Amino acid sequence: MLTSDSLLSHLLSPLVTRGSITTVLDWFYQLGVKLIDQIIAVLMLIINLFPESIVEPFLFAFMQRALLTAMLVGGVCGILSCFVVLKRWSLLGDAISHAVLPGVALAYLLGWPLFVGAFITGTLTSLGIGVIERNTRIKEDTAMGIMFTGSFALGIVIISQIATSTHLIHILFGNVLGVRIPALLLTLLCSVITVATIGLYYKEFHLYTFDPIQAKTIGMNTTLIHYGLMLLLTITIVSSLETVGIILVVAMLITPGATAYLLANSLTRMMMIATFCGIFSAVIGLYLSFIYNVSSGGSIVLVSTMLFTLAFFLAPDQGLITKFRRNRQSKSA
Amino acid sequence: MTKQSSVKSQINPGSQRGDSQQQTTAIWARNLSASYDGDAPVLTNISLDIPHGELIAIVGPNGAGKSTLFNILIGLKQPKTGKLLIFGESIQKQCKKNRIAYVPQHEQIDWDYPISVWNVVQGGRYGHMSITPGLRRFLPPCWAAPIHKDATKYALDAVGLFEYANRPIGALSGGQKKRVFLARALAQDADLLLLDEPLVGVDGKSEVLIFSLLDQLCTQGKTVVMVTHDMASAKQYASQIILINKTIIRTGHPEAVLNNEEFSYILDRPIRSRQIESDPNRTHPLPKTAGGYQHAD
Repeated sequence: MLTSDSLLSHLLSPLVTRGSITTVLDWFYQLGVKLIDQIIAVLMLIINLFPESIVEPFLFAFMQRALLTAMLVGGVCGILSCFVVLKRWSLLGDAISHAVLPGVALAYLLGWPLFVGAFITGTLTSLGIGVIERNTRIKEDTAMGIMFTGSFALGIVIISQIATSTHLIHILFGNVLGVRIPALLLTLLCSVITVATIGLYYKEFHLYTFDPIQAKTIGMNTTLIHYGLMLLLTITIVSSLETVGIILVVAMLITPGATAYLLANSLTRMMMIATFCGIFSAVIGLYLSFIYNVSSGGSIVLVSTMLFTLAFFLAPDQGLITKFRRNRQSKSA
Repeated sequence: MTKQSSVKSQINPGSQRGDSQQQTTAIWARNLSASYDGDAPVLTNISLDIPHGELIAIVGPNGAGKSTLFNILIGLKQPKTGKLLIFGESIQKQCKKNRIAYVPQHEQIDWDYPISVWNVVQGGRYGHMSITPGLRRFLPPCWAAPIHKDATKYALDAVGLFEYANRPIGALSGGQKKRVFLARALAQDADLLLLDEPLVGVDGKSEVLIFSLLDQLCTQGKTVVMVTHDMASAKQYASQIILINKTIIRTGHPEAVLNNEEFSYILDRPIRSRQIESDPNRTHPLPKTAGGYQHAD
């Protein structure tokens, strides 16, 4: 079934047949496990600075793994959410995250790496949106609505055939408390890839979101940047499948970016604030879900929404209160 | 060849340089045509020989295909037929060399984007940064080599916006916004500048500054091509005018092109008379009507 253990074994299954590759992969796997141990040790050092009542939940090994996974997903989603918000891709993020489902299910059936299936259906759906939009009078938002609900439904139908409803719920809403080492490793790998790509090609992504025509006139390959960004979105969505789940990852891909959009006046600062919001809501949400015994994915997103609400009212420049004051001042003046 | 050379001589009278002209002209185009989705062609039989160091205005009524021609010139749209060379090579090659700069229309920019004036202008250097050899090309712009910072500073100084460097672009006036994007093109140090409607939403002071800068660029041998529906300004500032309406109607010196009798028949749009006050030397002042518009009859 679609558990955390199967994720990595399926990711690697086509490669495992050859002896030498297996040893290399095994070596990488061991290295990854050691790395995760080190990171968790550092995390615990920081957590131990807090009062004992806060530290207590994190003494469990599963909570430590959940914390690291949630922080990774929160941080990476935070960075990507800036581009999603600036590029007005909110609905596209929604579309990709839903379109991933049939791919995951099919890949599981065929014994492919889950990521490959997810990427194929994700890309097919975004291409389908383009085809409908270009060839009919239907506009982009409707085309997205048609395509992603369709592929999402297909995914649900396939999964209902091969798995119990519990697994479906785990995919849809995530189960970060049940994350095991292989899935955590996959999340870490995806996070590193995403952060490294954005860091190395910051100029390209920056100019592409601000003025794509200028990006093209100075010789950047905008098609490559476009699909690269979409690929990063897909990677992140797949890697957060188990943490916040498909449905709530949409929130993590929009809300931190939107919060930062209200507060920042440059892209770098926006990315920093969004990353902070993502990680903060992951940590606090996880803690609250443990204390009150509620859904971890749900509480992570709720904290993130709370942060947005705060920014909405209190942001120094864009906030409602500042605007209200400014209006009154201009009226009295 | 006879047909081509007749078009050539229209634009560049007296030049009979032959095939080497492909290399010596800034923009060389033959029989360009374009259409959208198999509909009736928007542009037909466009041939251009734009020499170095001139300020060219492409003018025409609404729906004349100005924007389409502009999109072809910046490489956004592929012409359906015909051949286009910029500095003797394909657009893509020149784009990679950073020799083409582009100043966008007001509507094309998201003014809420969280970006400072400095970062916008530095965007003109991104192309140069990306072709830096070695690992330096991956560095974020804030750690760029001093040469890029100097170019950015120089460009901001040139448009007189250096003290606004840290402002968000949304907080600037219309004229200042246009100057920021002109600064980006200056920072890029391109040989061909393409401007899309550079006068929309620009106040008189910025307009004068923008065109004195463009004139300077032309004297340095750079080529400036602007697309505008503002006939009066085109006439005032451009050194050559290309009047198009689906195809090239006429080309040449502004006075010769825009004073022509047939001009008023081609244009379904009245001439804007906004320029009257700012141009006391105008030979035939147009009376201003209540709406600020004047029919060209």
